[in-house]
Amino acid sequence: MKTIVKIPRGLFEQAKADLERRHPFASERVGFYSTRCSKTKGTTLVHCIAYTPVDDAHYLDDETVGARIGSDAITQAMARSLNHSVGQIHVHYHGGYGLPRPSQTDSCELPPLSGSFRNANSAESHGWMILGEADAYSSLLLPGRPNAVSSLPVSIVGFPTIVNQRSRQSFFGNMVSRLTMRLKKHGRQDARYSRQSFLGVDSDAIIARTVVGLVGLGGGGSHIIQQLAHLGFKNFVLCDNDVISESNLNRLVGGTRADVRAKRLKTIIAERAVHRLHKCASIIGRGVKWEDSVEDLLGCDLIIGCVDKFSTRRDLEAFCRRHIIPYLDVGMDVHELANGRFEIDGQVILSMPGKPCMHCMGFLNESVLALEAAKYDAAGAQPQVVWSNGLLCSAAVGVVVDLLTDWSETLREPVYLAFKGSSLSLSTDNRIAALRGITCRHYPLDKAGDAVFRPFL
Amino acid sequence: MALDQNQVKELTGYYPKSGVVEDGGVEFILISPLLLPPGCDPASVDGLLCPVLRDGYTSRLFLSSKIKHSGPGQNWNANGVIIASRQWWAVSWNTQQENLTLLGMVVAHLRAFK
Repeated sequence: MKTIVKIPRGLFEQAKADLERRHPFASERVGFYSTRCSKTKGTTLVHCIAYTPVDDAHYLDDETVGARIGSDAITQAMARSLNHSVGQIHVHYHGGYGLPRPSQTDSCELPPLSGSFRNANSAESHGWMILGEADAYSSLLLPGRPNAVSSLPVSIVGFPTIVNQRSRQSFFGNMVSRLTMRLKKHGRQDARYSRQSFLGVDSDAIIARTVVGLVGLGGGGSHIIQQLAHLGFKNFVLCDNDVISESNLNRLVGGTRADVRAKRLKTIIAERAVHRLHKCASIIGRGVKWEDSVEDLLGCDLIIGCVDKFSTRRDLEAFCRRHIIPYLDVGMDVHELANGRFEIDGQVILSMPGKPCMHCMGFLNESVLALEAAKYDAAGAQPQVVWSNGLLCSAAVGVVVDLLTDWSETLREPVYLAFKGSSLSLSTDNRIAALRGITCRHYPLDKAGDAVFRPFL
Repeated sequence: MALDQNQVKELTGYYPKSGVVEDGGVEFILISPLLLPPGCDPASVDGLLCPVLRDGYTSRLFLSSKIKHSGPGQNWNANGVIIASRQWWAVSWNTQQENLTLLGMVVAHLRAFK
């Protein structure tokens, strides 16, 4: 069973800022994350959806520990759990880089608190967590599992997104990563990635451990996977149930006439492209629709959609928002103008949990969805060309790398790049400026996790 | 948009185990079980009513699985779509009637399978 804890960056920073404040007498502070879960047979995501500080008055004066809170604070946390159907995670801050380590007091005193929360509401995930600068130690009691699980992978989702996929590497793998890092710090670099060292001292490790979901492996997806593999990405979940056809050969990078003859799945062609660069890549690609790969997509650190339909984009974004996964949408459309000429419009959109979505940006609305549904049966093959796909996909890969490595230290808002084929221009859509600081009303963070059924009676 | 409580009362009179699930800011009505018209196989599934405009349809009724039936709604154009953490199927069926109550919508959509 894979378990990942997700903390939206806004909530991570909010908790850190609160916990770093001085208390009149306690030497550290305490707060609570409210949680909801997404569960499948093999994966559980624990989403932190809100942070609640503990009021100054609820601390007890006890010099033997960093902070001791009274029963009122605990009763309030239990009430939150019951009234809002959420879990409660006791949070405090140790700081420092790397995985924070619990003190002996933490290990003795906090597990019973988790047990009390479970006794109050066994349907949710409860526990305790220690925040560091860019990571967190957690020990959680998950619904249906008798014992606590500790040192879980924690992802901090936002600008930048930090992926702490501890469980993906074996002890030996971890040792090799640490040795590589040490060598890099002493000026000896892995030759393959030496020209991209400006991405950051630990960029190779970040890229190597990130799991990317790629939906659609035709004209767009084939460009993206090729570039990601060159950059060093090697963990993929690939979704596309289509096989390559003759009309794909004008743009599907890596596709061959032999593939067409063999009616090869596009996911197989993509896998081949990755394996040519990484023998030991971890690729899940079963040649099925994304809706049939939910279990695998849940484990992705980000999902890239290179799909044709607006309705698929809407559904993919909804899925990503529910499970606190950054979603990057790439697409293009060739259409005929009134004067008989053609224009290519395209977009690269980065949709981040809690931030404006594709509806907020005006890219998706009921009119385009209705028009698409009405046209669907009549539509023939859509025109597509390789260069515009290449340009859009290169920009998308740039967004992915910046989001994960923060090399530019400027990516702090959602992205909506609009492409015009006639002028070969890619520019930020005007609507982005108007959305600065806006919270998404379509997908509020506190609705993350599996859908909650509210019976009428 | 808040649901009309009179309409909810009417719906629960027929489907007491119905309720709301939210996705993407839309409140869907989950009906479990939804009894299908005679001749359908299986005879009942879970139903998910979208009571507002979606994909150009004034309302939509999604089913928890594809069914066999001899009614006029044979164009399954939503196949395994994910709404509120579950997969759903729907036929292309426009009720073409405005101002239907929630129960009226369900009844109008079930005509696709009659």
